[in-house]
Amino acid sequence: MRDIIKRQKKYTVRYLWYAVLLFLLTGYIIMPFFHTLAQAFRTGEGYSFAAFHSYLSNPNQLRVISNTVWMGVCSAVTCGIIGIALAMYMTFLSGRGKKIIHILLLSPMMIPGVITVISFIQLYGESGIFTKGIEYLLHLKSAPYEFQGFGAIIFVITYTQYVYFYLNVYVALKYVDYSTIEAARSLGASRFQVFKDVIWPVITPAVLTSLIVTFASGISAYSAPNLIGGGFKVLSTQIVRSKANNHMDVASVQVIILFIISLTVMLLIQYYSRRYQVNPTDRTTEIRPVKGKHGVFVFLCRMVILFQILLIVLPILAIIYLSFMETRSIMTNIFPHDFTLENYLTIFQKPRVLKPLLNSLRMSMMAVAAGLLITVPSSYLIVRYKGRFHGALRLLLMLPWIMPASVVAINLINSFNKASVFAFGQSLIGGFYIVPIAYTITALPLLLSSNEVALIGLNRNLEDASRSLGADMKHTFLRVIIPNIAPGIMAGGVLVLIRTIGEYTMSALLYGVYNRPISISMITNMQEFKIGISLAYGVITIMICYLALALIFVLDKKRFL
Amino acid sequence: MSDIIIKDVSHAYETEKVLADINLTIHSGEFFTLLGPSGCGKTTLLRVLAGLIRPSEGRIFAGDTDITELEPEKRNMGLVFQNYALFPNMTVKENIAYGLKIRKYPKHEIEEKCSYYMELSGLSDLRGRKITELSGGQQQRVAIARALVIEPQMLLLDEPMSNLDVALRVKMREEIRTIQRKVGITTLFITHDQQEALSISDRIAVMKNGNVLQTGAPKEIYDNPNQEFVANFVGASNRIEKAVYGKFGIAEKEDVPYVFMRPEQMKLCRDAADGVRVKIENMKFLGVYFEYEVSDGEYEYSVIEINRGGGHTGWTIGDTAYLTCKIPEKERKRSQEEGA
Repeated sequence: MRDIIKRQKKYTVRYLWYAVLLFLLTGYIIMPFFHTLAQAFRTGEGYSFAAFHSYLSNPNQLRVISNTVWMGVCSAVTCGIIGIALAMYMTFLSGRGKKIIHILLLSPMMIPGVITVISFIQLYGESGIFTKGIEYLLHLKSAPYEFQGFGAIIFVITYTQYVYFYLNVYVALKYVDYSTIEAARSLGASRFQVFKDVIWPVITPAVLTSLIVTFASGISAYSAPNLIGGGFKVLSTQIVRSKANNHMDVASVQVIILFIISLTVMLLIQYYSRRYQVNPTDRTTEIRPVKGKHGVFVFLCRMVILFQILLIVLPILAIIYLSFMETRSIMTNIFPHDFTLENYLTIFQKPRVLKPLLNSLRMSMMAVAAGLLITVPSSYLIVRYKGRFHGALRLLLMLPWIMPASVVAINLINSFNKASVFAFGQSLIGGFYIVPIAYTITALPLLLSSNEVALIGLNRNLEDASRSLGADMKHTFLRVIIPNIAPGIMAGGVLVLIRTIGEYTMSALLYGVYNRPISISMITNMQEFKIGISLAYGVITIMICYLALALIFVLDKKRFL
Repeated sequence: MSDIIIKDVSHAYETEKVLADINLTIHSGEFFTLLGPSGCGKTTLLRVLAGLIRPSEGRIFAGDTDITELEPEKRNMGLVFQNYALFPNMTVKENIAYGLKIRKYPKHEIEEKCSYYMELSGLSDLRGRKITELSGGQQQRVAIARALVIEPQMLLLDEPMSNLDVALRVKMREEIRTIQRKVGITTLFITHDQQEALSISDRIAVMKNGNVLQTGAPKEIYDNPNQEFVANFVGASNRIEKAVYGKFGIAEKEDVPYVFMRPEQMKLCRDAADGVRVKIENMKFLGVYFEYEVSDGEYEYSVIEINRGGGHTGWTIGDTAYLTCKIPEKERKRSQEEGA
């Protein structure tokens, strides 16, 4: 009898948890999306396609849509070429200094996009060091190029997003059984045939996943087109503009179009990736880098990689150097040289200037904590029990993955600009919590999948062993499961921290006086010509990200190195 | 400790039946082995006993108590997994102490019990080690000590030897048997290795496709297999059809359609009076013995001759010989003495 009561208690806890989860997911993901739909289709009397019709019949707007798609396609392609080539080089050719090069190649992922764009501007912009340097060296009267428009956007996106391709393909290549390569070679396959028949099938899933991610970040990119886009208009910049002009109906229409583009491409790629499932063999012989070959090809590869690393490192060095310069010197000298600590002192001495940094740290950490609270038990239930209900739960949690940042933000605005049941009768817009809530929503898919990976890697028997030794479910979960998946969980958490701390798109749409984040302060300081402070903010954020990165490497060596 | 009784237990995964009406009694203090090929349901049966799977039908009793509905943590079964399932976040000592800590034993008692079982399993020097720093054999000892320290009513061993190399396997099975005798614990052991089963068990149940085909002491099962699968899975055997009983001099005592004869119970002779005329189709030298495949044109038989030194027995492929089951009394006696 007592056992029956206990078992009922166990189920009660679980069902209570499902209820809370469904409340949150409905209130903060599903309902907001329906509010956006309603907003877009509502007309004076009832609902219709009128808003879409008038939007799509404007050639300028059609141009915006095609620009957006084109930006997604181009960034996926350029990221793919560079990322795959780098992963191949690192796996098959790299010898000395491999670890350091690997970390350098990963580093763009660790720097918020908005900071990268700013540092690129400081280097290659009209008055950038690099541009001025070339002008000076070649005695030109004006800049030899214009760092603006479509080309500049793609350049920036490529050098911030290729990392997805690089990392995914690099990890996938570890599952290529070297003996299969040797087998193919001994059967007479050429290098190209080996790539096509042995390597490509194994990395295809990784390539497709990366395609989705880079396309998605391409179409939803905001900081690059906003800061260096020139006349190149895309949906994400137009959404922010519509919102700023208080045209929420237009913003909603734009959001739905952006969502449809994103969804279509993802479904297409998902469809293909299902056809390319490869189960790697258990026992693989590790790939050994080719040694002792110093042909022209290898030399050229080395040169290309050197150039790549230069492209990655230069902006970081530039922003660090310039953050120690007086703003006047940055603005007037070709090579700024007036050293000062003023920029940093201002940040740490004036509470008002320090505030955005603290805000961002606090909001990111809240997102990590909330995200983990939601996803750790969920991933456990999903992996452990499977079934249709858990499949649906997983789908809901992964939903934000197909929602570009501006979609999430506009949905939240449409839902919480008035008192809501889901916020216990409050309106959240303009308050502090709306930004961390948005960060949490976008963090869910990443956290869920990194937890799942950790859980799937966990020996199922550990749980059975613990229970047969007398531990109940709760004890087993806390003492055996959590400690053993902790590295994976923490790595996911740190990644979220890095990705949210300099977040710009959602922040721009949602911030208010109480929660001005660092990304917004960087941009406003720059626009107010306090360039030094803006750059110092950037450097401090980069430092935080790198500390977090070091933490991931310590926690989860196997996965990243 | 009490007997463990498995009564009418059946289990199905979705529509696939993996256990069909199992009835077994495992006596207190007994070393009981489930022997069968992979996929025969033996691991499922073990998991049913451990409470990790609730059977679709049937009951499990410990003595008079029905334990079918009991959660695994309430059953007090010591479980040793094929891959040991040691907690990688804990040391050797912490792994072993885990079950005791959950049972809220006082510190000094935990210390005492852990020390005793670590000593018993030869782990005393390794107490502070991380699991990843242990060899396969050491990991297995930790897994066994962890299962024994909670003083379970039964020890469940799920193919614990399958990850060890051959030499270590033989050594560990002796060790397991010694520890089991010392502790006197009822043990259920699972294996697909007939040698292992024969050498270690008090009793064996041979399983196939979710059914128990035969239960008995090792010698009983080896000498009197009740059906062809048992005869061939536990050792090799020749099936002799009723039609040829006469030729082999087997009395038609019972109304059985065929009898099984072990290869070592048959002999090749040169004298036509001694048996059935056969041709030697193939031969293998395996160190301890020679193995011949012979044929009388209709049936094929396998025969083993012990290598008693002096190399070859004189048969070559293609020779004609006479196959018999009547091993001369003198030789049979000698073999028995050697065997004992």
